[in-house]
Amino acid sequence: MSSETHVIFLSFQVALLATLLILPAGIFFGWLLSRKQFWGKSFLDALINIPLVLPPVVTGYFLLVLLGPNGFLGAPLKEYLGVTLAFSWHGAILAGGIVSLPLLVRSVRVAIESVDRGLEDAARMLYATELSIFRRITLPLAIHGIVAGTVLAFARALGEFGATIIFASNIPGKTQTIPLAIFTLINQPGGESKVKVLVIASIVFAYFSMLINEFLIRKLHHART
Amino acid sequence: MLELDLHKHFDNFHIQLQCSISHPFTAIFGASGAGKTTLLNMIAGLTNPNRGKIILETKILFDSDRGISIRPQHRRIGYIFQESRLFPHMSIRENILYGLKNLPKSEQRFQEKDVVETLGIGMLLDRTPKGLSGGERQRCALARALLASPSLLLMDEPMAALDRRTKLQFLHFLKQVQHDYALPILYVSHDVDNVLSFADDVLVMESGTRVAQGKPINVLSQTIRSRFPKSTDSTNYISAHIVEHRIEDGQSVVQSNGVSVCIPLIDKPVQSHVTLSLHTSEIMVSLHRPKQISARNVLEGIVQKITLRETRVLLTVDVGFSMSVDIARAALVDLNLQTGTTVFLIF
Repeated sequence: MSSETHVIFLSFQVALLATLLILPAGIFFGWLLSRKQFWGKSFLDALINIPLVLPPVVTGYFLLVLLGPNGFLGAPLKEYLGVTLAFSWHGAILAGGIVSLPLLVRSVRVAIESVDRGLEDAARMLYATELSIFRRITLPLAIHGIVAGTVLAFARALGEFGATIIFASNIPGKTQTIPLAIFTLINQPGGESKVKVLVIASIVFAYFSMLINEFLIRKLHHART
Repeated sequence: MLELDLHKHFDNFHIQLQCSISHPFTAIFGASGAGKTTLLNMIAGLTNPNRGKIILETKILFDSDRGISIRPQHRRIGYIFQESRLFPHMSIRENILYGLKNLPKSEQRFQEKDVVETLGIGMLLDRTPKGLSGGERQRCALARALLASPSLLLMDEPMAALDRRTKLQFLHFLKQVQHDYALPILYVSHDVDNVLSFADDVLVMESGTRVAQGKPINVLSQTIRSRFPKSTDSTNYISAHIVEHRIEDGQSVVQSNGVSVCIPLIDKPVQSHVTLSLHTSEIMVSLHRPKQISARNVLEGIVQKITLRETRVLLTVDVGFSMSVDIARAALVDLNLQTGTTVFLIF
């Protein structure tokens, strides 16, 4: 496997696992923010959305402070469970996941908000439990929007650079994803041809992700009418 | 059957209602914004009152003093909403079986086959709600609610979006349902005709409170006419009982205050009570008893009151009971009508 193919494959793996990692949390927070009123809702909303506007490098720095080898959580994790997230493949997954989470939560929230609450009330009057209502009414009616958000989150994780380079570092074959490899190659003499391959791959992935996203959002609106 | 003591506060609106509902078919009548839907939502448990009590039969559904608030899922109340609220991603069959499947077998009172037959939705079962007409949707929503075997059925203007013909058809099904399943119904409406043709009891609401309750015909004449003139001043409501059926003529004869009126044949036993509704513009006025006329009713009466309107005139005529008649201003002049004039009403 050429080094570019390996980088692309690794990036795919990292982005896919990052997306799967945040999917349950993304659906839960999206539902919570769209359907429930509680104290501190605005604070939670802002907290989830911070990575959207914070320089990713800063997000990476916080991850390092929190989960680095000497971090608040990182030190006990390493001591008691022998787990080190920083400077590892797992760290790249976590960094990709954290920066993608706001996009997923936003999409899920919009998708769930578009489901008529009246249908949920109708199900309540037909003795359905809250979990069953979510599973059989809300989720199927919001599914296109949720999948669209998942695709968007995947694309964002694929392009993640700042948080990854700080928290997972730029280790070829281990944590070096497409953006990190481009960054390294661009500073190396004779790396242009490899850069071109990776740039084209990035554009293709990004374009198709947005295409799928757009298609699913259309389907979501179509299902409503 | 249902005891209510409800207090609910909104920013600029309060609901304060104490009443008891004991008839099998009670209509809640009121202008929009009177709090009718909120009342139904509180009974259903979709909205909670700030304080008060809701008792259905012997079951306490809500009691703020005792901290009781039963979830909507456990109230055993069916709810037909104004806009059917069928689940768009399910077939009609899946829709109507939705509540039934959440119910233990021993508590299922009605059979799918019977309900489908009563409501005439057999050919819709494999379709989705998308292509259905308003009337079909509401019939499916009614089937869905019935199959869940509720002990009370709430209906929030289920016919508001239906045309007149579909309305009559839906009413027919509703009558059938009430007859077959003996289910108490609480029906919100702003349509006086519906209320009259159906209800045993009417609760009139205004600004979140009860302003009247009782037999439809009494409540109508006393309260609704004065409070909601727009909804009633163009229609006469006459309380009568059936005297005989002339099957060969296709007619029934009813009597009110000793005055006989012919109506198209109806399927109700002799002596039973009916309420006639007759539009004020459907009546003609003559100074002489007409001969050789197709209209079946000619009632002699005396003009009691003449109310002038922009281009029309409303006559109140006593024919043994009071009737309102709408005529053109020119007719008033031509016939030289005055209070005390004897006239014949033709319809």
